Amino acid sequence: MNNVDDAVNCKDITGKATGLPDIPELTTEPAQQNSPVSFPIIAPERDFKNTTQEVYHARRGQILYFQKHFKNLHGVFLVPVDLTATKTASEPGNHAIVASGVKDDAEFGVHGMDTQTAYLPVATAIKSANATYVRNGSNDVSESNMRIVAQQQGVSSVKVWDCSLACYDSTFLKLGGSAVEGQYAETFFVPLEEAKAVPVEQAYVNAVGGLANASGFGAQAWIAALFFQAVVQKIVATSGNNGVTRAAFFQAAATFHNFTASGMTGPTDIGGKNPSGCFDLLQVKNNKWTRVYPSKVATFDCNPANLATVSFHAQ
Amino acid sequence: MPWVSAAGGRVINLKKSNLALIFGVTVFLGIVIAESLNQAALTSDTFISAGIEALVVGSIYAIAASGLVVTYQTSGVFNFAQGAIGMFMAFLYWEVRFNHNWPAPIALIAVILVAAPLMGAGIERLLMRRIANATLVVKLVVTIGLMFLLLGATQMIWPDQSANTPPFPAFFAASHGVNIGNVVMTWHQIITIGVAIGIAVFLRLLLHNSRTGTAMRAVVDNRTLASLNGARPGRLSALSWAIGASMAATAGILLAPTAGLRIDVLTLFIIDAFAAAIIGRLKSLPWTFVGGLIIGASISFATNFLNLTSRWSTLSTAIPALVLFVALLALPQARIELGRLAPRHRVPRVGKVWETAVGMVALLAVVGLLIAFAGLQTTDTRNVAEMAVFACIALAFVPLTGWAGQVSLAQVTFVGVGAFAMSQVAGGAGDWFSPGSPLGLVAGALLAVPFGLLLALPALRLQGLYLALASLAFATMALPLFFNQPEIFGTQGPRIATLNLFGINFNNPDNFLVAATVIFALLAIFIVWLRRRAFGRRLVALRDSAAASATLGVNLIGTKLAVFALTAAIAGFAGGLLGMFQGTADTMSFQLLEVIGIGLFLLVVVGGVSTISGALFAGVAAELLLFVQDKWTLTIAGIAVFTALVRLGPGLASLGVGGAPEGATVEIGAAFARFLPWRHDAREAYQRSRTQKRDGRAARARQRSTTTATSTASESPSAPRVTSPPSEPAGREAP
Repeated sequence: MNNVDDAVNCKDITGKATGLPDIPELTTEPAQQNSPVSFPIIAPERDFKNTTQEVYHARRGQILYFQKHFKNLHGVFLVPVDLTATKTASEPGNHAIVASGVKDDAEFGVHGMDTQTAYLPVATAIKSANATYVRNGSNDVSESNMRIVAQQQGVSSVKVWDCSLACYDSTFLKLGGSAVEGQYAETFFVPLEEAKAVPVEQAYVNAVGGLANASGFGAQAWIAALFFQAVVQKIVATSGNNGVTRAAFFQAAATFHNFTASGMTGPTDIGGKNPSGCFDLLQVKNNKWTRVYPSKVATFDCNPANLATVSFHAQ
Repeated sequence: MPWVSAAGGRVINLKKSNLALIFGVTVFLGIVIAESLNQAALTSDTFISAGIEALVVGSIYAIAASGLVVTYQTSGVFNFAQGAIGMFMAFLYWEVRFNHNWPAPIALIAVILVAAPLMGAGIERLLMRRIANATLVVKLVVTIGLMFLLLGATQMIWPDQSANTPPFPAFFAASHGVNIGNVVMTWHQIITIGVAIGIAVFLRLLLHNSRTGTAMRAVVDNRTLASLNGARPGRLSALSWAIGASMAATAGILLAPTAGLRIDVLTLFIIDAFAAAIIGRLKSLPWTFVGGLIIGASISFATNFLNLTSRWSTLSTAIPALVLFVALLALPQARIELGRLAPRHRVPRVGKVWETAVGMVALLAVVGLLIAFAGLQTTDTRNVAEMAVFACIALAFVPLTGWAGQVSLAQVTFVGVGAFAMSQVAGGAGDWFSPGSPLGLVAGALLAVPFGLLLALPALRLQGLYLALASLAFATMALPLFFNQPEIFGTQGPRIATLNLFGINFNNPDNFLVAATVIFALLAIFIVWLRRRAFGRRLVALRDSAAASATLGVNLIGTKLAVFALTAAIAGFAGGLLGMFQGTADTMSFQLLEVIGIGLFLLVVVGGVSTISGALFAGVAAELLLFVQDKWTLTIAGIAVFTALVRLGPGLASLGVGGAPEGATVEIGAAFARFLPWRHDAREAYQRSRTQKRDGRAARARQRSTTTATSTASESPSAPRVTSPPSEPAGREAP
């Protein structure tokens, strides 16, 4: 959302600017990230409380795992440059990865409309640098194109193909086929393949007509709906049905500091708008997304070290 | 020998301005390249991969562009739908090959050698042949409409490309390919380059070493003379369209595995091939292939050696448009056409200012009745208000395309410029004027003027099709070069306050609807007033015959500059109003394929591009299509009909423009005008028309009776030959 003025200044029946509740699954625009009426499910990494410096608490849990299992990671970063917002949204994570010790060999801007041919120079750069790590902040189409070209070009040095949540989609498996084998992606909710272990998540999978229609973004939206339900239930429990007002919503929402969506996600401070380091790591094995870490079903790694504090100026 | 230039009634050397523009573009590109040059290692592998990319991308452009050139050469129609045909055929190939598991050779033959040629020949027979003598506007609108129709149809037939559908792999994807240094050239890439070379050889042999090709070229040179020598122009034209569609299909099928089965991506990619066709000046196939390679090399250079991640991150997508613009600037100065006027089915009457004022009062009354008695919900009222805003935008086409005959697809850019100006000077607190001040609308109009003049510069040299293409390139380039800049709409999407005037609350949709309608009415009255002035007559003269106007001393340069500036100002003004209506504006709102882009252009031509009612028709139709698409569902044989209505609607309507080139509202107006008390002229015209029809019927009856009598006489030689003297039809006045 580019502009939150209307949502912030939305008046109630008495004419008071109460605001309109907004529960996005994720935010890319600073206006919405810093909005008093927004409660993103994936909290923004930017620390808006720090007004003197541009500071981010960026997620890097998967990098700690990779570094434990693969030595001397260095590689190439693919940055989504379709919009300024997509570019700036991917920057904190990349800075955290580099700050964690992964050397940046080269950086390429990629567009959603790029053809496979546009990934040829990236594959050439990977081969030239003998890169062991490739991070793509774009989407499933982009990463499947990257992997197909890399396969065609015989890229063999890469130990870790790392992608954002956007790759966690069955379309990615269809587009990439055998080329995307070994792909990693992190999720902030219980993987959909384990939905049976979490009834609310199974309800989502059923609602969309099965696993083939479910997606990572869909699951995040489901969590947003569960958060809304939880806040309303809390208000009703304390003030009764007539207590459900927008003002009461803001007040109640701000008290949720360990929201788990009945086990669908790790404890998340949605009320305080602090990012959570909880994550699961998945990998494509035999053209299926498979849990890699933590190994136990329906659990998360929520180590505080999974968040790295980095400071830079987003361009 | 000196000749009359398109720019004015005297010989004018505009080479300096060409050079200045080309120099400006070159300097700009130089700065961007210097700023973005990637410091990554320049190895032999980098150069090889860049070379492969250039060849492959260039080959696909060359295939698509050569199809365009063949079609244009033999029919004189520039096929804007080339990209959409390629995209549609790629989907069809995917359907039969991967959804129905046909073997690849059979699927290829079925699509490239059967379906595509049938579609091409069908388009020529059913659509293009009917508009052979039509104006350029009609020819352009029909092919652009066809493009929209195919986009909509594809979206409707193949809406789902989810995980449940099979993928579209490259040819011989499982094979390794060929190593060149450390870079692997895949079989798909080798096939693409090979097919391009094969097509080049085939076309060369067809056009220069075969009787059919010679006849095709003869038809281009002189259709009548070729016909007198035994050639059959209709068949040859159909053949060229069949070949053109086949090439579009080939390009689409080669492109889809690497670009993905994505409707807009495939269509826009092949549209980018226009630049290659222009480098070939729409006649030289070798130069068209060179053009394809130039675009391929430019894109390859950008992706391999530039790191366009800052403010120029989307520049690479505009490279073909930049090449197109520069190629158009480098074209030789167009000569004024001295040929005959295109026949006009019906010449719209020039309305009087008071008539327009009465019409606008009636419109306001209708709006008032809607608000008072229709019981509209807030969203419904906003929909009606949006109709008025769209109609204001559509007014910008009336003087430029309707009167002056200058086809510009870039009005949507000026709309965006107006919205930007509004956001900066009166969008919110702290701006120059109070939030929502009408002065913001004026600022929008003023800021759009220099942009209009910038587009007018190529317009001074280019005519017709080339101008339309220049405007297409202009609108495409505006996205990365202007709208995408952080200083323009940025990531925030600026807040734009609604209208603030006389203390009225225009946040209320009823009030905004009235305000938008009043603004439309005032603009309409101003435009009609202008049409009745000398300036309006000069514009019409420019459209009807630039040569005659120049001979009479009309300053064509000044007139063209003025009309481009005026219509840019109208579009900018309307853009400010759109910003107020939406409350914000962003980088993606002002693209060509949006409804306020080409969609509105098509609808205003369908409605009647030289009339106010045509603009009103376009505004109402555009909003209705959006409304129906969003709210209604109708499924026929498993296909959701309304999913792509915003594209299907204008596309379908545009195909009928050939039958009513002056527009639907002109035809309807002509039918009903005789009922207006003060329209004696309409009643007289109606009487004349009836008399002519009666005369025609009588003449046909006489001819039939004469034929019957002659045949009877010839059957019985003894019978006396009976002929009736021609009778004077009733009602005809003596000369």
